[in-house]
Amino acid sequence: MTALHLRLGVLLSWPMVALLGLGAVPFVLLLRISVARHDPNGIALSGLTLHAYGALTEPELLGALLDSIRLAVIVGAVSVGLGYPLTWAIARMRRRLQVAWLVFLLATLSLSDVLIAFSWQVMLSKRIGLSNLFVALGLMDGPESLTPSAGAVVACLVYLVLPFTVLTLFPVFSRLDLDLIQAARTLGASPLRAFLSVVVPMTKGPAMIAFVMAMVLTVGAYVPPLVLGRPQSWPMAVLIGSTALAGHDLPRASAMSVFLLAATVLLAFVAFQATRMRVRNS
Amino acid sequence: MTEPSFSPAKTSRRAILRGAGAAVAAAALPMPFIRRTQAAERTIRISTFGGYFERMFAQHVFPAFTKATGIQVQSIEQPEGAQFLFQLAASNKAGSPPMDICCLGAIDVLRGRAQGIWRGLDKTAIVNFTQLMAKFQEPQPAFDNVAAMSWYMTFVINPEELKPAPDSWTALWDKHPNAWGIMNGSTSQIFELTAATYFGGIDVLLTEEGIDRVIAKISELKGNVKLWWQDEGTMQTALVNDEVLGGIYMHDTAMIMVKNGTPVQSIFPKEGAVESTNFWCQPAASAKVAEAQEFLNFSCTPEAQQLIARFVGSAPVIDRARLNLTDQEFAAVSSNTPSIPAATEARYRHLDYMERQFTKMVTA
Repeated sequence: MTALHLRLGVLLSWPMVALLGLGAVPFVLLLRISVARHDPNGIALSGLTLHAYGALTEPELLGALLDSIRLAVIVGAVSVGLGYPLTWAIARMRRRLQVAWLVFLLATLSLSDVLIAFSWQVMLSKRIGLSNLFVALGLMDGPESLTPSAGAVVACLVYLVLPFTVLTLFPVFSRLDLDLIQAARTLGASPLRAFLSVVVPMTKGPAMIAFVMAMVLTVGAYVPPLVLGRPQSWPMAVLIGSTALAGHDLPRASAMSVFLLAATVLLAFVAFQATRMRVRNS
Repeated sequence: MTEPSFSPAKTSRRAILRGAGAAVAAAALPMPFIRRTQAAERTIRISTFGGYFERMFAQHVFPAFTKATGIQVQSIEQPEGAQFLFQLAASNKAGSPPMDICCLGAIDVLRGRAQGIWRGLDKTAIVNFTQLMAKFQEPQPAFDNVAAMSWYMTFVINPEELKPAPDSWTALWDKHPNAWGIMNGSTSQIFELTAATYFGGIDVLLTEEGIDRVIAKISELKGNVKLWWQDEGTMQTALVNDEVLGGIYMHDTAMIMVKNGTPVQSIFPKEGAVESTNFWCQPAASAKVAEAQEFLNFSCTPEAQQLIARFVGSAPVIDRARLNLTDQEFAAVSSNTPSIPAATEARYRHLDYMERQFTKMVTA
């Protein structure tokens, strides 16, 4: 029995090993570089200084961090706002339509975010962009360019995270016992009341998980804000990229990454705590 | 879309968008199998910037070298961005660099030199070195590099929307709200052209207060700039879709866009376009000393420079009078207007400062 346990343990330990190798080791390296001295010629894994962390007191970087968080919260809220009714609708569809929708959503995941950001750039352009459609519909006077703008960034990011939102919510919605709604209706609840008092409490937890996931995916967004956004609202990830790749200042970029990571973990933690409390209360 | 054109040395920019792909490529440099037909066959491994660039070298330039010398070339695609030098330094130290000759932007030559990566070259063995333009023969602290080719950052405009066409960089500062696409960050040539146009040359960038003055001048442009681009694809899309009236862009890529029917015009302003040069260097641990000398010698010939101009799309580093390029072929890659040199020394010393201050200015 113990031998079997041992063998099973060894067999099942690979996710732990992978997590250590692919997650912990790079993170330790990141921490190490963030306290190394700055060497413009390469990675000097020498010296021990907290100089790079001094950057975090600069108002520009704090502003960029707030921009990252604000963007993440907006994208998380919009994608759950859209994904929730969409998933509800998909869950009530006929089986074949359901499969078609899910395959379509999965297929969009195979596109790279670079490709998607560039497509949005073209789609929002003056020459052949969406504004031409609006002009044809009489909604706008003349075609104009819709980038760079905060709206363009949010639209592109919502497109990127929406499949994750739907795929997170779908299992819950598809298992939802419709008899419960029927029961509520029989007992005299209006359709809205039945939805709010039966469906919403049952899906609150997963919806929060979808929200946090959309947020975490967005906090690290790099290409869409770079291509579609204004420099004034470039999030932290863009600044980390330019500090490391253009400025060759790896300790500073690493310190910024550690900071962003800490902020993300904190954000996710707070969101999960809030859900737990709410689920317990309801 | 146009044929993807790659101008060298904006390498870190492109690396940004390639992201993980570049990192994977870097981790496993392609090592095509070399067939050893004879023990005596001479070979050399040469790496250049990836994609179109490497393909053109492999198809047009290296075969001419093999024909001239009998040395077989294994063409290698070089990973891009900051990680390239990091990895080369490590593999060189371990005694097994993945190539015998690589192609670098000027600043990476200095970074590599500071780490002792490059082999000192024997000038007397590279007899054609004297064929290069005088500016590429100037003595340096170490003779460890040979100029390979140049590329220009010019004033690119949409001639249908901007009339008359400007002839000076000062037009960037005229009243054109939301009109331009300007390259973003410390590696942007906006530093050089501002320094040359308003501060008498690039030497102002050698001190931090000089950098601050140049950035203050650049900040006057902010209202005119619609797009602070980081990779050339964004700017290309913006030009194709009338998103910008113009801005600063690579001359060679602009000429390919013209060829493909996009209404753009590449202007060499009277103050000069900004010229950046790429160099060949040999990692010290490479054992192919004689073969490398022969290749460097070949690269300094009019024959090689003509091939590079025609097929790679880069500006020659030999005087035009020695080349048989037609006016059209020459204009596609270069110009007779004296150029503004890249501020390599300033960037080598102050890159992190330039990046920080520029980011502060642009995100404010």
